[in-house]
Amino acid sequence: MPSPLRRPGGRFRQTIRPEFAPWPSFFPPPPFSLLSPCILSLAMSATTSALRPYLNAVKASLDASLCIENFPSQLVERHNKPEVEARSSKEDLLTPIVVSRNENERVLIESSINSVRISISIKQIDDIDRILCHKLTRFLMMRAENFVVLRRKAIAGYDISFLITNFHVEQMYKHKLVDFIIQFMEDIDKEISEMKLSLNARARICAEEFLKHF
Amino acid sequence: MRRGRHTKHFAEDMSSFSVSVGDSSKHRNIDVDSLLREGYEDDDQSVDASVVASINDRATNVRTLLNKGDAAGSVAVAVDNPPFNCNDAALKAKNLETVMSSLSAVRAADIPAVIKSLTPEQVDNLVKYIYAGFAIPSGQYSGHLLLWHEKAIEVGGLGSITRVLTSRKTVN
Repeated sequence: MPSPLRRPGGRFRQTIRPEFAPWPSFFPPPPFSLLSPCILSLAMSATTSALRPYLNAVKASLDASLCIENFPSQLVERHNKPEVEARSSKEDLLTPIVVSRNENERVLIESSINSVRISISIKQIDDIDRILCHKLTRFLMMRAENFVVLRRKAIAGYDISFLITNFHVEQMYKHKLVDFIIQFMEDIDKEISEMKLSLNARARICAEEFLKHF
Repeated sequence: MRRGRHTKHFAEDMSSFSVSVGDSSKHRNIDVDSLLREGYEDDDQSVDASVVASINDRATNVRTLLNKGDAAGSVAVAVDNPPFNCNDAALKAKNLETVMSSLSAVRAADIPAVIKSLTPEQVDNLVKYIYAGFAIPSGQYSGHLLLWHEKAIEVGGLGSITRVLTSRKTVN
């Protein structure tokens, strides 16, 4: 079954996995299919209305910066490197932009002629948040090749980074890619706060059981 | 014998060839931007007196207008004619602070009307200032700037973001 993320006439034969989602398949599946981000975001718009202006700003910035084309390396023949990583010449790079909500939550978008690097700083209020965020992002980044656009290592000062090249934009619809990033930002906050709640609940039960004996 | 000589000459040719390749790709490593006028760093790093004067004027004008309660008018003054050719980071930060004080004085409901009164160039400058404000590490203006961003993009479109990305005339 062709994935809706895949362009029908794509030149490149790499399959986009159906579990193109911020967690691997052995996690319990979310209530809706993640491949219908529009429906999902409509359903959740009431709960995340505070987050909405931030996500809209990121979306507009991504829309503008994901304007990339094929660009072979100027230094090595028949190589094709993401210029935002290779940084081989200054004129291929664009001004990096930041969209921030407060001092903890920010997105850095670095664009170049053939690639865009998006780094997200996730909200971390206390130490539990920090641990959970670290574990979760590490878990995802270790499996980066399953997520196609995920970068194996985050940029310094940010929690998770994506690298989108012109090949990804050729294979997948641009608006779906943007939606994926937005969806990811929305879900990761929710995921971490849910994990924190269940962690606290579990700690409470443990403490109750333990203290029964006294 | 002859063959050997030929090989030797060939090797010499090859070595000269590789040297010439190295020479011809050397221009790739020249930082053209540093030689062009806008980014050119003069030996003396002194900032033009007129630029300093314009930044100070803007600060006083914005403060006067804000004291009068004319936040909308102060925005137009703040985003007009930014100090693009100023290389001094401290001056640019001071100017950014002026603009931020003006932007944060406007109430959320008044933002669309203020943006409507700006010229297209001023809207582009405004978007540049908004992104500069997002980049402030403390994030103190970010919440309000998100509202500005939304309304400014409604008027300026994605083109104004693209100009932030590509323009070498930066405000921060």
